[in-house]
Amino acid sequence: MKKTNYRLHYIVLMIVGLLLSCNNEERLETTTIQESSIELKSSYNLLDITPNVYHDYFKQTEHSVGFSSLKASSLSEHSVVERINIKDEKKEARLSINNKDIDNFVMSRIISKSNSSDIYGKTVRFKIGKKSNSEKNTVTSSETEVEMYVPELVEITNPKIESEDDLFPICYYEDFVLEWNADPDNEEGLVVIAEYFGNNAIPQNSNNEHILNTDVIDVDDGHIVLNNDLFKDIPNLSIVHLVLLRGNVTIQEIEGELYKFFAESHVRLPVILVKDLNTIAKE
Amino acid sequence: MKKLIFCINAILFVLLLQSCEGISPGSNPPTCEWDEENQVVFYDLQLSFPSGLSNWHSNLIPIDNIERSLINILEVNSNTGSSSQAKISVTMKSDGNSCIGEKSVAFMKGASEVGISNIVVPFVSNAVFLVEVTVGIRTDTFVNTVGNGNYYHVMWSGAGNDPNGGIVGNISGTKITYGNINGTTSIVISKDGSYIKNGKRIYM
Repeated sequence: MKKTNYRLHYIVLMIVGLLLSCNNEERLETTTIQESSIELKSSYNLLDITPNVYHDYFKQTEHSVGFSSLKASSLSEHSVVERINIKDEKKEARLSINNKDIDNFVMSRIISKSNSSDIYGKTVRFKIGKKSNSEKNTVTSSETEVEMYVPELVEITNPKIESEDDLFPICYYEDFVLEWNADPDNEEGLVVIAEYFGNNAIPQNSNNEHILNTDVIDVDDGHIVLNNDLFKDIPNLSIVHLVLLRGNVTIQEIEGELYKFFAESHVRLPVILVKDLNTIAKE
Repeated sequence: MKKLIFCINAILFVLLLQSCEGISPGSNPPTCEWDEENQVVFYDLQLSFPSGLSNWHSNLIPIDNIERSLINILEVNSNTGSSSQAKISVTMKSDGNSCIGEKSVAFMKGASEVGISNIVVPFVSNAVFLVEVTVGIRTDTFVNTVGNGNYYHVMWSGAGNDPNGGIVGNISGTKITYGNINGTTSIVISKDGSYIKNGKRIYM
């Protein structure tokens, strides 16, 4: 009986150990690589978990085709990257975007402004098919076409940054008004992110945390008062990147495999976030 | 009885192992594994300094007020007598399809990973593409001699989505001034400066 009890204890311990090892949550421990380099502790907070197309972006699919654009600051230009990852071991796939054939099925490349003007603010046509056996350049009847509206490249218009002197605007966090170029044809809303990298305007108040708070803007009308919780856990006078993103995602099953078609653009706006107005003084 | 316990254990074990997976089509991708190394490269690194630097600081930077070395940003010491506050923080994001995750690392004075115009960073091993790199660069804290405020530092912010991990290196710096004002450590805005509240600029 005693021997059986020991075995049971062992089994229970093993199960608890396995359960702990299966924890999929973000690891929150800080690891020191060297004294002079520190890995930041990351935490994420989703304010709106209502299903939307932006959640589909993070669905795992066998294949993906799309576009991503970054405007690194309000004074920068958009940099548009085309990303294609189609597994085609049999060398029989055929892909076209807006009727232009794509030859390279695993690639990531910056595209020109003129090429990106055919994507953003337009309905984009993706065609997936197979080359026929007899003639490699013709398309079989199994071709699938996916049409998707891609919203205009997003721009933040308030807080407005017009010159280098305006960089790092000092912004009070409560009832934060954010404005952008509205796209009435965008039915998918936008995503707004407050991202903190541990930097503070008062260097001694910096820490080793990386906080990423995310919310969804339902209507693309160019104006919103942000939820105060977007800045939750971010200390007073922190350097915060406001990220505004919009796009579209379609997941389509074609011949038993999932294809993700996506296009998004986003802009970064670094600000100094004020939570206590008493900590602003005039020169 | 022994066979029964063995069978129950085996079933439990298989069930628990399955709960660790979560990689099936249409589900969320796994967490990224950052067990490789790569370089973030600044193309034509030119970190321009703003006006209003102290004479002490001006004497330590290039005469054209443009820094072309990340190492210098970390190594140039201030005259405050405190330990260096200079820092470069780098955040990498994966493509979100093969795996989900980000990695943020901060580099301080003496970091061997930081080169003149490149930084060795952790790199994801189970994603096809790296999507975005964000960099924040800060000088050490200097004693302020132009305008009010006891101290200042200069900040640069950059980001890139170049598939090769590059960032456009021509970045303008901003002077951030602060000090102990009436017993409170405060940020100091310039004479004609403002802050933004409810979408409107407030001039103090």
